[in-house]
Amino acid sequence: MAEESSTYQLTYFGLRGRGEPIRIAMQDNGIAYSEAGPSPSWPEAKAAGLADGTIPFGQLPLLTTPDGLALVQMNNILRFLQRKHLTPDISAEDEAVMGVALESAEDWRGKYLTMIYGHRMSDESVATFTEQATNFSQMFDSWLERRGTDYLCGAEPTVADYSLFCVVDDTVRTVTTLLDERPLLAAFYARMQARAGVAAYLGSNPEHRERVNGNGLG
Amino acid sequence: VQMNNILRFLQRKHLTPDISAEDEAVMGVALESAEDWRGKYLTMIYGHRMSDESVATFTEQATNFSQMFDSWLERRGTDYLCGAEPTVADYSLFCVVDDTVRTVTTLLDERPLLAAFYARMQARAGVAAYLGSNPEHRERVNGNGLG
Repeated sequence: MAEESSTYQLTYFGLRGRGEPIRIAMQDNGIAYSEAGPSPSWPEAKAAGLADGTIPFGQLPLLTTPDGLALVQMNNILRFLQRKHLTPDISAEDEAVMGVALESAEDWRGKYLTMIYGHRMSDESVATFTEQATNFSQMFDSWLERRGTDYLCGAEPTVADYSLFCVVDDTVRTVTTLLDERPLLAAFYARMQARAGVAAYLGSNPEHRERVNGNGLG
Repeated sequence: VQMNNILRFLQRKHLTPDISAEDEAVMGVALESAEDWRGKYLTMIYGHRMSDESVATFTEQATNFSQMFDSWLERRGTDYLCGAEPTVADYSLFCVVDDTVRTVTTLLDERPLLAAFYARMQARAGVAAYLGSNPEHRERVNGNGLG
């Protein structure tokens, strides 16, 4: 285990990617954290992390808890934050309902990342992703309509909302008309942007937000 | 819906109702990483319909994943990924190994701990009974008949 600290430590590359939902969840909930890139370099940090088990599958983001617990996998980290900080008493049932939305937002992100990294935003891949994003946005808009709530699972955001917000935020840079016919999803997106913690974070213009993805695309 | 979501629900509802957020998160590392492995497998199966190139790519990927899981088991020194009893991460890993070895037949040759884990899972009473009943759906690994 890593040394104990008074705050969480996020280790990620200096870009939005799969770190951003974690950042926004912590920022909006006042969860103190520091952030650093892999050191001294990613190849060296990866090798060390594989060897000592802190990066057991060679991937970031890594969240090290104040107790020194090393956690990887974005959705896994988000679920931990939900259970540890946002709703410590969340039932298995309520977590599972949230999980439907969380994993589905990740499916959307997966299609986005295939366009970005797999096809480097070829015209064909952008057209494919546009269709996929259109479908996902419809399904999430319908989800919000059925539930009739401000956020995916009620009156307060869960980590599923932070993940959905980020994938919408990344998608609209490419699919500029995404929210045109999605009134509930558009309202959700605006509502998330206006939250005090989210607005303060976005308004601080952190440098890493200029880099959405590792290859500079998107 | 969503397989890992369903598995996590079963873990919290039935297997370990009192699992802490920390312990669930440690299990989640393995669960999500098994899913990463499955994702590579499914890309070979559905994305590339097991072209020779895709099989070669997946063989390399599966070799890496098997090494990382073998190392995980070595570090922890336990029979299962997170202790003396299986979690849903173990069931997911078992299935992805079970699917992978049909294509990467040498997968477990140099992975003693993962091989022992695989055998241990197969030998569990409930698992053995299920596999031994030869349910018809097990003849179809994937929807396109490949793998």
